[in-house]
Amino acid sequence: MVNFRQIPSLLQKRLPPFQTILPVYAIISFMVYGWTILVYFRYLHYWLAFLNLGEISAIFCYSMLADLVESLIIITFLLAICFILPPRFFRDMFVLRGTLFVIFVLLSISLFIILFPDLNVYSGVALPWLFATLVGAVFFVVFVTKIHFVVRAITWLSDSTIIFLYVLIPVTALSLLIVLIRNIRIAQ
Amino acid sequence: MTGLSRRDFLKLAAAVTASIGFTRSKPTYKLLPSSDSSKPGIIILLFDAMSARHLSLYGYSKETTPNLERFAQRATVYHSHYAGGSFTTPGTSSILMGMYPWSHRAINFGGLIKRNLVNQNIFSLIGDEYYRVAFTENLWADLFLRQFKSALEDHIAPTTFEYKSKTINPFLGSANLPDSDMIYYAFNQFLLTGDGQDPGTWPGSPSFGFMDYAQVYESRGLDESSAEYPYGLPYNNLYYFQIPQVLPGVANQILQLTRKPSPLFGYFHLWSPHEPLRPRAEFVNKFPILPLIDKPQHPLSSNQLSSVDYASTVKLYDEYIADIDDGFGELLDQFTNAGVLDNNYLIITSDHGQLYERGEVGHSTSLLFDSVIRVPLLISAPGVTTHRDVYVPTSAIDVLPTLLSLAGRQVPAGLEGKLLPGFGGQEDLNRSVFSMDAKYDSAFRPFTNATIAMIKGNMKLIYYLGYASYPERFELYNLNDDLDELDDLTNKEFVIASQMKQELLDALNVANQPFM
Repeated sequence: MVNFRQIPSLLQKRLPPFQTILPVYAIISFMVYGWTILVYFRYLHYWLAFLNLGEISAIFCYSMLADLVESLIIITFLLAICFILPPRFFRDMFVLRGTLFVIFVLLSISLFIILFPDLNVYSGVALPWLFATLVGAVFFVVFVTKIHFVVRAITWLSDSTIIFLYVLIPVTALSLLIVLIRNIRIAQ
Repeated sequence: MTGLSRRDFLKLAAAVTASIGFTRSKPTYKLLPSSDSSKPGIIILLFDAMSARHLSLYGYSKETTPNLERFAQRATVYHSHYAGGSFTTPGTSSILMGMYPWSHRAINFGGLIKRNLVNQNIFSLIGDEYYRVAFTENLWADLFLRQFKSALEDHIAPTTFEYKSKTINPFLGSANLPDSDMIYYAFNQFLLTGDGQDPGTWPGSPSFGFMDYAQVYESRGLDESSAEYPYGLPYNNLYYFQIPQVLPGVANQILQLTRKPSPLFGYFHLWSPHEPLRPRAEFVNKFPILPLIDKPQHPLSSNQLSSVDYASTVKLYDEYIADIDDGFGELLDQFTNAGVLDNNYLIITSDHGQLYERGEVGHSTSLLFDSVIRVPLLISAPGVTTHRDVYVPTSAIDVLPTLLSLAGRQVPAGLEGKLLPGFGGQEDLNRSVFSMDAKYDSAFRPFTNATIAMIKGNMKLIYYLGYASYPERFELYNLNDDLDELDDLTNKEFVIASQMKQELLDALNVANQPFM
């Protein structure tokens, strides 16, 4: 029978501390938000032809909220791995292995999207690609963590990207506010 | 220069937030309700991408539309009816606004109607004595319905007759959310893999976009040949559907709606026979592959299809039309049995046609030959069982003022359309009607890159503006003698060409004035 009073201590034991989650979340946010902003500018010329600046900004706000959801799903996925695996595999090296895993997977997905933009033609490649990515990510995480300069570089990178959260979190909060105002106003 | 203080920054941030939040203009135009609810209902049934040139109703050699012909026996049939443009956005919006694209400015792929005109749409103007319902399977057309939602009693979700989705988008069918048009752009066109219109553009969300690929892969079996669908199941870029579900589904919706105490004003816009061309098995090989007239490659076309490829594609398109017509036949029987045609106007039309010639395949083309802009229009009046033909050129923009007149409403001054002959209008051989394509131009500036067709009597002038490979060109055709538009008369009929050029350029100049 499940003892609910043990859940907090179980989580504390299985999950990494907040100070180590933050740099990994920073890397995820940097990559997810960064990609969205990059692609947003590719679309801009198309929208400028028929949407006004307020409407184009509204699309940006919805995108920021979607990025928040996406980044939270990814960090939750990593925490779930921590919870399942013995601590020495992932939890104890969460910043290093989490960062490497995220970088490998998100770069691989981005590369796929760049290489195969037409989903009606290339959807069949997606699942093999994802499988290869996950397998590759495991090998990458295990082997690369043995290279000292990579360890130092990744640690520096994950710590450095925290600064972007100081921009991304207020931007997301502002986006949420704008989305709420728009929806309340239009619903009236 | 002094620096920005913290207080100033906060003030600025609040102002920017508020200005973005309040960008959407509130409706300013609302008709007062009328007490007369005994008026006949009005039902518009639009078949997307149905070219009049491919319908036996209009003399096509293959018997593609026996059921439309059956309906035509009790309807007024317009033989020279022109769409507002060559693809969904200008084609549909011209019907719903009673204006040419140069006025309502829905000219781009997935474009919107000019914001200060939104409240002069067909649903607002017809008034709330009608129960106003709209449905479309075409998501670009659905953008207009989202714009018009304050004038609709019921906006039926575009996914109502979905068989299986091709996307993970949770908002695909959420047409009634307050900010639904911006949600469409954010999720359908940007964050996910898009609605297939621009495969070169990446999804704005890497993980969610990637998951869309997996969703498409998961439904791949529906693209394969089956006993009922030899070419796979039809789809509208974002979901698969089955014709035997859509047409009876729409018919049932209409039958229920006509039982309401208020008269119905219903707009039902079906995707078929839009590409992909996927007729059911019983219609495959219904027609032979016939050789087509060899038409030269146009300088603005990029495809290099052989005449054999064209002939087999046309055969498939014709079979798909026959399939849709069969479904329409069942709908017509249901309507007849239920007495729907005794109490309602029924309007059958399309937003644009298809072009399978001169290096073009489908629509969204800059070439405005008749096959892509001449569309069917049939109107049956309640209880009338006689047939009438109208041969003078008419336009999609005429539908709105005609319906307003039938509904006893005042026709506002801003509309460019005229009453259709047979429903209060006169047959005017001197009238010019226009159709245009300017999908790469800005909706906020004068036209610099566009094609405009002007039809006057038997003559048709096509103006190509701003194309690098075909700059500032005119083509003139006599549609009576040269239905295939092969003999350019610009030099031979110099006087007529000059007069029509001047008229077209004057009209364009007037349309450009507000944007100068």
